[in-house]
This record gives sequence, C-alpha cells and structure tokens, in this order.
Amino acid sequence: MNAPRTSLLTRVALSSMVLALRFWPENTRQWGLALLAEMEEISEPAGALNWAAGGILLFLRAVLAQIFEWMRLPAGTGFSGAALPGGVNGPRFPKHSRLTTAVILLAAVTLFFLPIGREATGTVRASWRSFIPSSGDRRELEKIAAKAEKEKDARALAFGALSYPDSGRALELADRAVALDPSLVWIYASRYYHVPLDLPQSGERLKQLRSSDPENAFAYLVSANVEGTSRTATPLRLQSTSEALRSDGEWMKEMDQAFRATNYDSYFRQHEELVREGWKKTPGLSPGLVAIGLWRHRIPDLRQIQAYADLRVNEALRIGSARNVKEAETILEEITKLGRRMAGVGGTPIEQLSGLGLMQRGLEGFKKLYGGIGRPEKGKEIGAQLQELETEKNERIQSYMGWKSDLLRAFQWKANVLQVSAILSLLLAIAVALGLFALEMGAAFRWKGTGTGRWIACRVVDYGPLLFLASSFAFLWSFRPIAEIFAQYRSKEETHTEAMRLFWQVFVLGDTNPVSYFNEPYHQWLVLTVVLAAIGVVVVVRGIVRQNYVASTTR
Amino acid sequence: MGIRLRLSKQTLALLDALIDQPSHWHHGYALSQQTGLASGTLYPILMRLEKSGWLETRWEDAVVPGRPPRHFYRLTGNGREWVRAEFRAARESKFWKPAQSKV
Repeated sequence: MNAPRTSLLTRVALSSMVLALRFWPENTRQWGLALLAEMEEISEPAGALNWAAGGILLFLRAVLAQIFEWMRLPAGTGFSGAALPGGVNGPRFPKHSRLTTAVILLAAVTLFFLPIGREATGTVRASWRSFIPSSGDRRELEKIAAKAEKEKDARALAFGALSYPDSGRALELADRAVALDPSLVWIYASRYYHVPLDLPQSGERLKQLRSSDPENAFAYLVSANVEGTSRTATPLRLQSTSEALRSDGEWMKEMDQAFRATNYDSYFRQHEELVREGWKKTPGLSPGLVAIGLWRHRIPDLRQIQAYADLRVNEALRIGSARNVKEAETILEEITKLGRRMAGVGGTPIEQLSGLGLMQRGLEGFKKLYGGIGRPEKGKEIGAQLQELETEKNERIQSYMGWKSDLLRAFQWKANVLQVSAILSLLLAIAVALGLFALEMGAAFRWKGTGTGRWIACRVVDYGPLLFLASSFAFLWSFRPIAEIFAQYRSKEETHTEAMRLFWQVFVLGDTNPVSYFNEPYHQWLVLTVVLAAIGVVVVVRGIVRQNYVASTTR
Repeated sequence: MGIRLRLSKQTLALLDALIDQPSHWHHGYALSQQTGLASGTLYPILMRLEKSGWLETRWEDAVVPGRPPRHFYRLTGNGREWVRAEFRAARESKFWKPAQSKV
C-alpha cells in the first residue's frame, strides 16, 4: 500500500472503482478487479485518479458491450442468452433480435417527430377530443400572449383573444390588444365571448366599437343582441321574441340605428386575416384551436333581426294605410337596404342568406303596402323583384350546399383513412409494447411458457413493429392532403375560401372521430357484446379441440 | 485464435514490453509505466490479446492480507511467435520500430 489513504483524490479514485465493480458485468469483472488491485501500487493521488478514470472508461465499455450483446438476442432472453430455445419443449422466442425490433420501432417513432408527423398527431388527437381545447392548447396560447405582451404585439394579443377558449381570459387579452391598438376594437364584437349571455361589461366595450365605426350596422346589432338576449333566453317562436323585445326601449333604439346605418360588416375578413396571421406565426398550434377561433365568429342574432323587421313592416303598413306612403316606403327601404348589405360578399354564407331573407321581408312589405293603397303596377314590379330574389336565394343556397357537400364527400373518405390508420398505429404500438413487456418480464420471472399466450407475444413482437411502421407511414401519407390545406390556408393572402374549406374539413375530421363512437351507450353495449361473444366462441372452440385431442390420445 | 488484431502503435508498444521478457509475468501498472499507456487504453488491449489467445493471465498466489490479489500477464508460446512475425513485418514496412531489436 503505497498511496496514502488519507488523500482525498485517492479515496475518490478507490471509491469510484469499488462502486463500478459493484455493477460490473460478470463476464469481464475480473478485469475490473485487476485494475482495482493495481491501484494499491500507485503512490501519486493524481496517478490513482487517472488510473481509476481509465477503469471507469473500461467499465462503461463493458456495460455498453453487454447491452449490445443483449440487443443482439431476441426479446425474452436473459443477459447471458442462456434462456434461448431449448428444443421442442423449450420456451418460444421471437425470430428477430431486440436490435432489429428497436431499429424498426425507432424508424416508426421518428416519423411522428417529423414536422408533418407532429402536425398529424396533434390534429388527430384534437379530433379525438372533438376539438375541445386541451390544457396544452391553453399553454400554447398563453405563451403566444406572453410573447405578444413582451413585444407589445397587439395583433398577436388579438389573435389570442379570438382563439382563447375561456371567455374571461379572452376578454383580458382583447382589452390588452385594444389598449395597444385601438383600431382592433372590432374584436369585442367579432366573437362570442360568453354564450348565450355576454358579460354585463360588454356594453362599455361595444360602445367603444360603435363610436369608432358609427356607420356599421353590425356594431348596433350586436349591442341590441346583448341587450335582447337576456329577455329572450330561450324563446323558440318568432312571435314571442317580437312581443318580448318590442317593449325594450334600449333594444328598439339599437335596432333602429342598425337599420339606419349605411354599412354592414361583421369583420369576418379581419377575423380570418388575424387567425391566419396568428397561425402562420405559430404553425405548431392545434388546427382545432384555429378552427374553433373561426367557429366563434359572431353573427348577429338573426331571429332578433327578423323580429325587428316584422315590427317595422307592420308599422310601415299601418302608416301606409293612413296614406303616409312616403314614410312607409322609407321604413321598408331601410329593411331591404340592410338585407342587401348583409347579402354582400364580405360576410359568412349564413349572413349572406339571411340578408336575402331580410330583403324578401322588406319587398313583401312593399307588395302588401302597394296592394293596400291600390297601386297594382307597383305591386307587380315588386312581385317580379321578389321572383328574382327567390331565384337568387335558391341559387346561392344550392351553390353553397353543393360546394359544401362536394367538399365533404371528397374529404370524408380521406378523413376515414386517416382515422383508421391512426387507430391502427395506436393499437399496434400498444400491442408491441405489451408483447415486449410480457416477454421481458417473462425473462425476469423465468416464464418458460410454450402456450398460446407466449406464441401470440412472440408473433406480435416479430411482425408488430413492421406493421406499426407501415401503418405510421400510411397515417402520415393520408394526412398529406390535410397538411396541404393547412399550408394553403396559412400561405394565401385571400383566405375566405380557404377559411371555409378549413372550417368544414376540421368539422368532418371531428365528425369521423372514432372516440365519439364509443360515447354512445348503444355502441358501448355493442362493443361489449361483441367482445364477450368472441371470448365465448374462443372458450367453446378451445374446449372442443381439447376434448378431441384427449379422445384421440386415449384411444 | 481466429481473431485478427488491429496492430495499432499502442498495441505494438504493449507487445514490445511483453516480448522484452517473454517468460516473465507482468502486472498492469508496470506495463502502463513501461509503455506510457493509460489504464483505459492498456486494459482493452490486454483483453483483446487474451481473447485472441496470445496472452495468458493468472492471479497472484501469495495474497497479502488486506490487499486484493494482482493479475499477471505474459505472452503464450503462440503469442510470442506471432509477435515476432508481426514485428518483422512492421519493421519491413517501416510502420513501427521496436525500442530494441528482439527479432
């Protein structure tokens, strides 16, 4: 013993070698002991440490070599490989080595870490939640908000406000965005913050919007809706809506201003533009979150507009019958004009169709007015206009419904393929994990089974990884068209059509969500019955086979 | 014996030390001192030589109480012949020159 034991370095060196020896693989342990024995001859503490460092290196190499040896054996074998097939009665093992299995699994898993893989996984997982935002989505939006706050990026904050699932937080973000850039005040009106009721303080925010965009009917309509919704929380009939609202002076005032305004814009294009911009900045954001942002786009309560229009038509007819035709015409003109503005190209299809419906109400009012005051030639003229309007309305409905059904039909099978390949990949991954777990645990607990269970585990570990790789590839391949739509939406300047396409395709994806299938009790019972029936069949067949086997061996 | 060893300069230095006193049993630390090889380099070479059958090993017989037995190494008969042949080839190709002529 030359090295002074009191030296800290020597003690560290010795302790580390002793520790390494405790875990040193058996087949090379003697070399570790040899290294340790030599340390007794080293007098210099630094030399002892250097010697021990070499020993640790050798230990790591020995461990790696053993792991590599272990990887070269099939799953279910021990470190020494002693439990390899022992003849006809020996346990079964997979045909491939652990290394082969690991390489194939790694290749499959790598696919999910590619940008398209991450997007596909995120989208399908969100569809399985029916696009209800997850806590991860909230965290992502919080990150965007925090970054935007730091950079004083009002548009990014507005994007957060339009997409955030919780209304309270969304309003906070909206307030911050508007404080930084008052021109974004429209975000107060362009989404439903609280459904069906908005917060009482919405009134103040909407007042800001009305004063910044005083000629926009939308701002007044939304204010009237917030006012009127509390009175018509659940009415189903238009008649009862009219009766409930006509006594509300504030509502009548807002509606009156809306019908007199010279412009109508529900800010749908600005909303789309902001969503596109936000998604472009954060491409990793769940497409479901983006679609939900668009879903939340507010349109005025059409039932309330119709109710007010009916009140105004009746008023016009009453005035008209008192021979004050000019005033009656002005009232009806306001109705048809608002309808025409709403039917313009900037809004959502529902707004456009509602606009045509409003025009129809106005024109019908005109027809009744002229009929009542004995001006049949004018009535005829209006009748022709009504005919044209009906044709236009039908054309628009058919065009929109046709476009939508073509889109949905074309997308339906793609969505189905995507969902099936996703489910298959998940099931295969679970099966392979269970198979590997069973075999490796079997090795630890000396499971030398030769029965069906072990046979299944071996086959799953043999063919499962390859099938998993193939299904993962199919999953990404089937996601490609959807990824293209997302990319198109993000890259286009004119986003209206892309927004509608994205909106409906995400809708279909949510509709084909296989998890929702199991939400229905009928399907739950169906699956349970099928599984129990399958188990019953297996038990009966197995019993028959065994009985035949016993009979044949005892004959 | 079928394993073909890669004769690096470090391996040649070790073989040089071992062939210097072929019948003598060497221990690891002395070999390290003699060749200047660190333990992390020396022992993998010793392990490979043993696996190839060129090196024989034994544990120290007389154990000093409180001290673990040491491990000794020397070339086998085949090993010596092989080393001499390799040295000759190395010298001819001027790849490496032994410290002293042993061939």
